[in-house]
Amino acid sequence: MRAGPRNSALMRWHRRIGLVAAALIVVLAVSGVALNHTSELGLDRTHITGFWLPDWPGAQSDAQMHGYSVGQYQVTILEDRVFLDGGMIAQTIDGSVGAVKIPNAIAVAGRTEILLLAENGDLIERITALPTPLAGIGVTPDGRVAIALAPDLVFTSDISLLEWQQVRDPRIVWAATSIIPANIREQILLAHRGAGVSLERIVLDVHSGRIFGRYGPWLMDGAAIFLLMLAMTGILGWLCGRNRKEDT
Amino acid sequence: MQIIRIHLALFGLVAVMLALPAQSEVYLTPEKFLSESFAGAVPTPKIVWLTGALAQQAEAVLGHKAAALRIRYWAMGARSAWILDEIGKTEAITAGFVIENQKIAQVQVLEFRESRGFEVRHPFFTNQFIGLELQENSRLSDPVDGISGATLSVRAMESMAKFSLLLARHVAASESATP
Repeated sequence: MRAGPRNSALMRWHRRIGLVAAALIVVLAVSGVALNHTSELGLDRTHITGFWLPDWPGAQSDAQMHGYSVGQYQVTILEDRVFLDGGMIAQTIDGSVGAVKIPNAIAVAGRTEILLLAENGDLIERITALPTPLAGIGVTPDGRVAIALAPDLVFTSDISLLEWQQVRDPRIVWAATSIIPANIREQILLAHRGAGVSLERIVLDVHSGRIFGRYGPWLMDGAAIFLLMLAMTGILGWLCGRNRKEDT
Repeated sequence: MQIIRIHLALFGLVAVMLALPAQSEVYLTPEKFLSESFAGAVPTPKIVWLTGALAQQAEAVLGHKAAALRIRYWAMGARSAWILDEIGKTEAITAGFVIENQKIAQVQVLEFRESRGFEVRHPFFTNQFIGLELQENSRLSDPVDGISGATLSVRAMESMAKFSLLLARHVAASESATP
C-alpha cells in the first residue's frame, strides 16, 4: 500500500525533526536516566577537580595569578578573586592592576574599581567613582593613593579616597608584581580549587542546558518542543495511515 | 549532508552561547542619578562608617552583615542620596535612593545584573517607595506590592530602601548631635 501525499509529507517532517533533534534528545535522555539513579551510580559522591568548564570552582589554572607585595602583606589576584596572605577574601575584582599599602588599609586596583580593604581583609569600600580605565596604582610619599590611566595621566586622591585630582608628581611609588612565595601559592590554589564539583551537578547542568551558558536552558526547551512535535507528527501520521487503510 | 550541516550549526550555536558574557544592563549612571537628584549641583561626597550599633541595625534591616565597612553618600540640607548594591539571587542590583526628611523621595535602579526580575526598574514598582519611612521595628511604613517572578529582586529593593532610610536617619541624628 502506498502512503497518501499528506501522510508522506507528515512522515518527511517527522524524519527531519527526528534527525535535527537527535543529538539533544540523546543528551536529555541519557542525563535524565543518570539523574534518576544518582545514588545507585554514585554521582553525588564523585567529585571532579580541575575540571575545564568555566564557572565551576577548580576550573582555572594558576596561569593568571598576579602577586603584589604590600608592606608586610601579600596580595594575590587569581582570575577575579582577591587573596590576602593565602586566604581568599570574599571579593571579586574586574582585573589585576596592582595593590598598595596606605595608612590602616590596603588598596587593590582592578580596571575600573579599587577595593579598599582593612588589614584583616574586610572590605571598607568598593570604590567605583574614579577616573578609569586604570593602568597603574601607586602611593604618594604622604600615603595617598595615586592612579595612572596613562604615563602622563595621573590622579591622586584625598586621604579618604573620595575625590581625585590630576597631578604631575614624580615621587609616586607604583605597584609592581612580585614573586608569590611557594607556600602562599599552594594555599591559594587549594582554596581556589576547593573540593571540586560533584558529578551530579555536572549531569544536572547538562540536562537543564545550563552547562551551555545563559541560553542553554532555551536550547533544551527547543529539544523538548522538538520531542512534542515528534509525538504529534507521529500520531497524526499514524491516524492518516489508519484512515486511508479504512477507506480502501 | 544537510543534516550534518544542521548539526554543525547547532554546535556553533552552543559555542556562541558559551562565549556570551553575563547579562548586565546599566539604566542610569551614578553621575547622572546624582546630577538629577541635586538639580546639577552635586555636593561633595561624605562617608558614614558602619560600626557599633549602626552595624547591628544595618544587619537587622538587610538580613545579613553589610558588605562594606563604610558607605558613601551625598547630602544637601535635608536631602541625601545613596547608591547601594544588594544581591537579588546571585548578582548585585545597584540602586539609587534619595531621602528627604526621613522619607524616600526618589528610587532608581541604576544597574541590573540578574537574568530575571528586571521589572523592579519600572516606575509602577519604584513609585511605591515614594513617601515611605522606616519604622522602629525596622519595617517600611507601608507594604510594597511584589512582582511575580521577581521576588528576590523585590526583596533586595526593599532591603536597600530600609538601609538607605536607616543611614539617612543616623546621619541626621549625628549632625543634630554635633554642636
